[in-house]
Amino acid sequence: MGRDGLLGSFEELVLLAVARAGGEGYGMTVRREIEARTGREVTIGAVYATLDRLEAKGLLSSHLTDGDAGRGGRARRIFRIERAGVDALATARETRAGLWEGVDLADLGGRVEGSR
Amino acid sequence: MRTPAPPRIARLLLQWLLPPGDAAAVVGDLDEEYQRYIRPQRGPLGADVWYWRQVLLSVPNLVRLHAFGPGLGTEVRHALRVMGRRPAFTLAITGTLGLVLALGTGVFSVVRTVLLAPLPYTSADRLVRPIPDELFFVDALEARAFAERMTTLQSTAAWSRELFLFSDGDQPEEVRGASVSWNHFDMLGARPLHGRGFRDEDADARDVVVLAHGLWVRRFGADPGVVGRTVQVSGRATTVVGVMGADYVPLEHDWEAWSPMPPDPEAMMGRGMVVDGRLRDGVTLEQAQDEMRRVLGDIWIEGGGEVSDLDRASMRMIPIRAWLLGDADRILRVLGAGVAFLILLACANVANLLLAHGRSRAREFAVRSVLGGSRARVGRQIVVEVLLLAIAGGVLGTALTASALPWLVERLPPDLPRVGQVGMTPGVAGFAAATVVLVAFMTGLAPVLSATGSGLGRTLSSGRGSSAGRGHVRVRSALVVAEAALAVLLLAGAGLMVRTVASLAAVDPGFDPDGVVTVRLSPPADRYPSGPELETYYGRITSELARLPGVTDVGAIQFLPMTPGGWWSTYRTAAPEGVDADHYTAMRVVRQGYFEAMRVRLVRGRSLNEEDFVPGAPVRVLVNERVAAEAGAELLGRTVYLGEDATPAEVVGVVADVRQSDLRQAAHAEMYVPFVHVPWRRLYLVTRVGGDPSGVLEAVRSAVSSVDPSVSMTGPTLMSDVVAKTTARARLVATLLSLFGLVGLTLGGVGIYGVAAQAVGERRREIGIRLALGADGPSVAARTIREGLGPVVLGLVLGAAGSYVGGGVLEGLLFGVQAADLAALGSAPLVLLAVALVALTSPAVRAARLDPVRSLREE
Repeated sequence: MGRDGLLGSFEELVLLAVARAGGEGYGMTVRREIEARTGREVTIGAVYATLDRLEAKGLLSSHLTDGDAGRGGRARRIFRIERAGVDALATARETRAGLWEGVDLADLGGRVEGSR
Repeated sequence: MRTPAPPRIARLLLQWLLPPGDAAAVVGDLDEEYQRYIRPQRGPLGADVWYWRQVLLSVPNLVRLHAFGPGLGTEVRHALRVMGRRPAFTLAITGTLGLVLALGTGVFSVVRTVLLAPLPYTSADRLVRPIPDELFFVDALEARAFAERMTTLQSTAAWSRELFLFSDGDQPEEVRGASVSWNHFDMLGARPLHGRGFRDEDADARDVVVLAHGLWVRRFGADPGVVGRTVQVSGRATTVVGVMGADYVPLEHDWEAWSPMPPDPEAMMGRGMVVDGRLRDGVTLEQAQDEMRRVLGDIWIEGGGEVSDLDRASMRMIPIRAWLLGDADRILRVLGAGVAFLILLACANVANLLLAHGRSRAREFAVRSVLGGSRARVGRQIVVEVLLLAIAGGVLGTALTASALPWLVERLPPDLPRVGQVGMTPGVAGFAAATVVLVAFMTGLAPVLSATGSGLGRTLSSGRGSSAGRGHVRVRSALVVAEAALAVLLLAGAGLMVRTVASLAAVDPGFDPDGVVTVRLSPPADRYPSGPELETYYGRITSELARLPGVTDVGAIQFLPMTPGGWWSTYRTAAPEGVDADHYTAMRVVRQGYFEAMRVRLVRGRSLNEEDFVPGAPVRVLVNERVAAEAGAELLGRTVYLGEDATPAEVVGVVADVRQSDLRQAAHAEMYVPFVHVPWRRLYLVTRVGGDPSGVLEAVRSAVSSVDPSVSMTGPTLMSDVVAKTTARARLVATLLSLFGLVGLTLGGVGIYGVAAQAVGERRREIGIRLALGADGPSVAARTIREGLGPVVLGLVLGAAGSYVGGGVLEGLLFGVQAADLAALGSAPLVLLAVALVALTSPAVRAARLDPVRSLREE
């Protein structure tokens, strides 16, 4: 989240990935979700650092659960989206929607969804 | 069934990078994905690559996280406190790393500039030089044949060495350079910094010159406006058309000016030329060499000669790069290997110190574990400490490099290409930084594993009590083995080179350079057009020099020993119509007093005397022993016939062989002719002084310029310096390898001492029991020494074997000593053994003097 309270674009992706997973996720699911949706390689370090930052901002909270055999018995850190996080996503969507209003990409000679 | 494990080192790295509380969760995430999704999809190798990528690409994020997080700052502060508490320990490590990093960076900066940086030519690896025989010059006919008949070469360009006299302004200056084919720079693909290279039409008028950067700066104040200006060069009005850049590498290291060669090769008849060519695409060096042997053979046969298989075999095509670098390649490889060994040795040493340090901190780490510090956290603490130490060493090393580089550059052979450009560049700094990281990794690995008690570490810290840390000692002993082996390698290399330098110093060059001052003079042709004027000029200078206090003899020669240049002639030992074959000899033009000033020994007959040097005297010459031996008949008192016109000359004496090109090469056939018969324009004056000759250098300079200040002068120089220059390479390698060897020996000694001292410290109880049970002091001391020597001897054997096998890399640099020289290779292990014994003395004595009662009560 920038100084103006807006989400950074990667922060927004991470937060959305948690939201898509029913408001609860951990590092691996978030990483896979973003990679699957954007098609770009995302590192666990970047995801983790962002989750950590979002928690520090109060947009997420986290708790440790017991691990299982698939991960060598290591604990999972589950992140849950907080009220403030939901608000931040809503603000982000509204801001974007406001900006999109009246923009017609076809007029600008761009690629329009559905056209080939 | 075991679950497939992700790469261990990657996971360890990730663990270190993460804040302790979160490491498990993140590593768990990555492991889970690896096992559940990635490995089934991509297979073992693909999955490992994915894991490594994830970890490595995560580094920047995690490091940034730390920089703002609470963890790292605390650890750095703690590390600084620990380092400050043990200044000697910190200083030893920082100093060791600083020293070897400085040496490594220094050598690397030279290697990078001289060897690694691409030559400033287009596709430099396609440039080749045909070498007809060991003299390597071609004549005009051969040069033309290369240009016209070689289909494997896309273009060729010839050059011939040239001396230019720049005479504008107060100080005339003689400049070495070359006459080149007009397409010389085009063929090389080199562009001038200012102005242009040569064009087709320049070859006809030949009134243009291109300047090297150094000459441009020195003589023209780096003024770009000099392009287009007309200057006096060798008595002709000449237009400067171009200036080469500072990074340009001339084909011979001392060229500073280029002028175009006449287009007609016949105009170059009688001058030694070299032809360079560019390989056509798809043609190999071997194909070009085969064609060259064919073409050159044809030329020789067309000229009525014969071509033997031996002749053909000696015709070679070599890459220009190899020619330019000469044996620099080998020298720098040897130095690079030496310094790499030294860095490894230092790493082993520092790892050893850190392990010892870690042992003594076992209590601290245990307390921290109890207080909730995880193993990973302890590991991270050590990594931070090692990194800080390495960085401190790197900073010290960089500072040392900056001050040591000028020292090193000064000792480098001056004919290495681009030696003047060696310095601290971003690339060198990058190398230093990378080395710091590598060193930190290598030195930190063992202590971290040991302290975190994972894997190998478990063995390290296994067992307590009397046999405390057997595994730990084993690792430290392995490090001592490595140290000893590396030190022996360095010492053996140093030994071989020192013996080489000693052999070179023992060579009798055939003259005595000590006490001789030499200066080279080039009287200009416009004021000294011919023999009588030159005789007057040199005669006046000779009497001026003879008047100086302390001067005993003054003479002169056209090609001084140990300097380039040559003039060859054929001679016959019977009249021209005779049947005997031509002989070949170098001709040396001398002025009276040369043999006395240089102390060239007369073997038979008489020396040249005053009467032989007066105009109109019959031609009387001296020959050296090689000529006397090759002639096949007694030459003393005989008349020989010189050159094409068969000038008769009487041989009045035989003098000792003088090594002309350098100390390694045996003397050529040489014949000495008095100046009066061949009034050579440019001479080296030689002045012998009783006492220290360096005191008269200035006096010689002013005596020479008092006769005619406008004559360009090179020197004066001490003859001993001229000789020393020819052994500069061997001495450089010997000096640096000795330095590496000495540092290696010291580090090895410290390592051996450290392990033994700690072993004694940790086994006080055991030793105490043995003493209490009746063992006497000497036997305890002997046992300590024996155990300390074990790994050293193993290292010695490995090092000696390595030096025997690897001595070949020095081949070509050695002189008067075999690569498998027993004295050099055998003494290296002995020296180290002696040092090891000294290093073990103090721990052994301490063990012997242990008070059994006290040591037992301590536990």
